[in-house]
Amino acid sequence: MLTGVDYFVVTSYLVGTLLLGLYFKKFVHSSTDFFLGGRMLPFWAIGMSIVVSDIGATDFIGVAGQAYRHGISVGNFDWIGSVPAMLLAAFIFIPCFWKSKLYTIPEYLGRRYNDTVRTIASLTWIVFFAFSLGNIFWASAKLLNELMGWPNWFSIIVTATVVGLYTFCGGLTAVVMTDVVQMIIMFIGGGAVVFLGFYHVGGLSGLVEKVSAMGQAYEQHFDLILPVDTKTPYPWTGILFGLTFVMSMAYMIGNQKIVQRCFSAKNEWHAKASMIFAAFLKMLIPILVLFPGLIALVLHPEMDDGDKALPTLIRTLLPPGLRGLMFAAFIAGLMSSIDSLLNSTATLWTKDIYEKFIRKGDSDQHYLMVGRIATVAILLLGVVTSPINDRYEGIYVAIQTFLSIFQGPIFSVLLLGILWKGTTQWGGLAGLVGGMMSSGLMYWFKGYLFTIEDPFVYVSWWSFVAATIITVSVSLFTQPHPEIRLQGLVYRLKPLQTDGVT
Amino acid sequence: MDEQDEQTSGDLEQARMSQINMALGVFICFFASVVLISIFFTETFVGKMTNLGAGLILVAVGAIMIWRSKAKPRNS
Repeated sequence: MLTGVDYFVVTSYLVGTLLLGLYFKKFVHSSTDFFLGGRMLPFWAIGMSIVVSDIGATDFIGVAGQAYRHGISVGNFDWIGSVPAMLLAAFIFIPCFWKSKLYTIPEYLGRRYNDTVRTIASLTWIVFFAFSLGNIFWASAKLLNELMGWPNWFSIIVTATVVGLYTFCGGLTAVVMTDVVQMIIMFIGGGAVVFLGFYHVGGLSGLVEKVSAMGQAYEQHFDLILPVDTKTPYPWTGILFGLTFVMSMAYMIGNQKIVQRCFSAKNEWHAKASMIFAAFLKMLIPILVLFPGLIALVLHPEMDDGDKALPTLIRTLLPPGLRGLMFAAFIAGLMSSIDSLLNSTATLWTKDIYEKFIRKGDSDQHYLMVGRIATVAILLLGVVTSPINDRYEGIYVAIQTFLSIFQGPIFSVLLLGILWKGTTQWGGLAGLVGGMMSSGLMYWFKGYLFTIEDPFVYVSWWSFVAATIITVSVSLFTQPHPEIRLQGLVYRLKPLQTDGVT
Repeated sequence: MDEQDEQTSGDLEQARMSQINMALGVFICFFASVVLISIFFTETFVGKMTNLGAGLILVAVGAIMIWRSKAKPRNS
């Protein structure tokens, strides 16, 4: 169990993160400072924040648990499932977004197509993020109960207070910089777990030998690519078509929570470099989580729940001090997931809905205040709705289902909008609405269409295909915007010289 | 005037990043010291070495950030 030193580390980390976040309040004087860190952040901080916002403590633990159960194939989520999408984003999409001086992805869709597309996309993301927050609070509370023995209500109150305060005060700067610290600690702590784990199992060769000797059930544990008929959730077809081509692209290119960080870069070079640096860091993540899962399989083969693999190794292998730091990093990981959602949802609400429809043309200080109020409101909504997740276990599945309904279509209209100047506003609108309807129909008839219970990856892929076909078809019969309006919004169409004419 | 505005913006950005680097560096160095002190509470040799290695890496990262915070701005 944790020693006095470990508890001191955890407590100090929480207090220190709060003080650090409050310190960054001095840098917030405008809505640009609050939502986009003043557009002054360097690539290394943004890159680290992207990775930490993507992976949370539950992912760290969940991936290690999947490695315990199914082997290294789960690493595809971070390798082929992330790196190509991030590189594509870095060289094609991010430069386009950054040059347009955007606050949100729906804002791009509004300029490229029309305000209806913008509003549908924004409201969809706001609803998804708002409902996800309660789920994350509950998952966080369960994890902290497991790791630290804290009661659920205590975990939620502490997490909400610390995250809420520093996000409210420091905005995106506080969010990004607390992520930087968390990334550093997770890498060092994760590296220590791998080092000590290898020490106990006899190195990499010892690990392979011991897992292979465990029997037929573990013979695919070192196979990265699994066959279509595998009993694991990772057939290569699902990974390639659903994950690589659609879900990861949609996530790294079209998810406000991720891309908003690139908008905060100090210049275009830093915006691109941040995504490339994040891709490099993502390549290292599986090493830190896969090997602990496999090491736990050798050292603790009797575990009934693979998700206990990483926490068990941390408790049994790491020395005092470092152990507390890793647990603190887990808590920070949970907070990072929450602060990203808070800041992004507040940005979407303030810029796409409030400023557009409720109160236009007011002062920047007013929108800064609205952003802060939205942060608090969304935080309270998350806290209040979190206990529902205990009563209805299917809520997580419902949230993922909702995501897969719109993720493919939004990515389709985003992709076509950037790459093809012939995409029209009516094509984009038809593709978005038609794609989402096709997703709904696929879920309605999923028993006839799919052989697996939760076909997220396949619905994402096929709804992307449907949205693309609809968008292209309608665009061919409707009039696109004049090229002068598309400059800067379409790849390779250069923006006008800034002489005030649009 | 445009050049002067750019210079002012650049100075502001440099000052902000200096303060951020200093804050992060101090934060990381604090936890590095806790990890290094924990060596005295660790029983096994490999555990002590792990704490030492992790603590030194954290010190290095924190020190680099503090050093960066004191770097003079480049003249354009």
